[in-house]
Amino acid sequence: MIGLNWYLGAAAILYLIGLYCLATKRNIIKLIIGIEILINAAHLNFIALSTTTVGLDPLARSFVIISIGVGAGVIALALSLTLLIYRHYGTLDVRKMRRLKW
Amino acid sequence: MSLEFMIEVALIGFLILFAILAVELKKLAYAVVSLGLMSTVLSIIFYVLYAPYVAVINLLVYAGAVIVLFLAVLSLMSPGEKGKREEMKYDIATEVSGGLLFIIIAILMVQVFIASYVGLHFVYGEALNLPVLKPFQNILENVAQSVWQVRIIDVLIQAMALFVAGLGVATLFRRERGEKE
Repeated sequence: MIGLNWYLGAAAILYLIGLYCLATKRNIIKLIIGIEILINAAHLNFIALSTTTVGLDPLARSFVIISIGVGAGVIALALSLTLLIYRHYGTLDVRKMRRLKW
Repeated sequence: MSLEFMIEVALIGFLILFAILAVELKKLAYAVVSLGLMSTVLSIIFYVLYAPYVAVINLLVYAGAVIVLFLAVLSLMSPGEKGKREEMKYDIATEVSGGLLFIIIAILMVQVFIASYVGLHFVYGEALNLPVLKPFQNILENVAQSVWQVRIIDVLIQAMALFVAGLGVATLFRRERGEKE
């Protein structure tokens, strides 16, 4: 088993990839993908930090399980809003959504 | 260098590779499929890290349901949209500002990472560097006990929140359909 550093580093790199996606992409689907990558990075961090020789923390794992459910709800809601936005505006480009009036 | 070491490093490499592909691929359907592969690799990593429950639920929810949801939404859009390439119009202001923001956040994150790592070593000492060897049954019992006894209120609230979210989505689409009729 490799050390904790590798997993923490991987989580940090995943987090940076998600932030980069949120900062530079304009497609709504890509932004949701970025959010999901951020959530996955946080989960990896939780699991890696709860796995030590001191003991395996079950609280962190149950927290991650609950967070997975909540994250799936968030993604589902975002996707349904995306569909409504696409029907309203006819595009997925966030720069073209300037009118908030429905 | 043992085989286990190489497998774990390869898993982490695939994880980052699929994440980059999910962000950078131009066709949305391919990007979503790449995201599913990333979630699958992450599930395997969870299993390696002695978290079998989390691995199974991550595989079911993120690599299964969410990806199906993504593909369903893409299929509901116009036929050209899911295969359409993103606009390649070069917007220099967005690229420069996004790149600067990215660099600043990266520097901050590296500092936080180093500081937290030093702090963790201060708290846990040598325990962080040693391999983990624990009986597997205890993990299953502990996690099940933690989910169903310690955090039962969270689980119930989560179930209720998901139910309400489902109702909300159904209401949104019902209104949309009613307006069209």
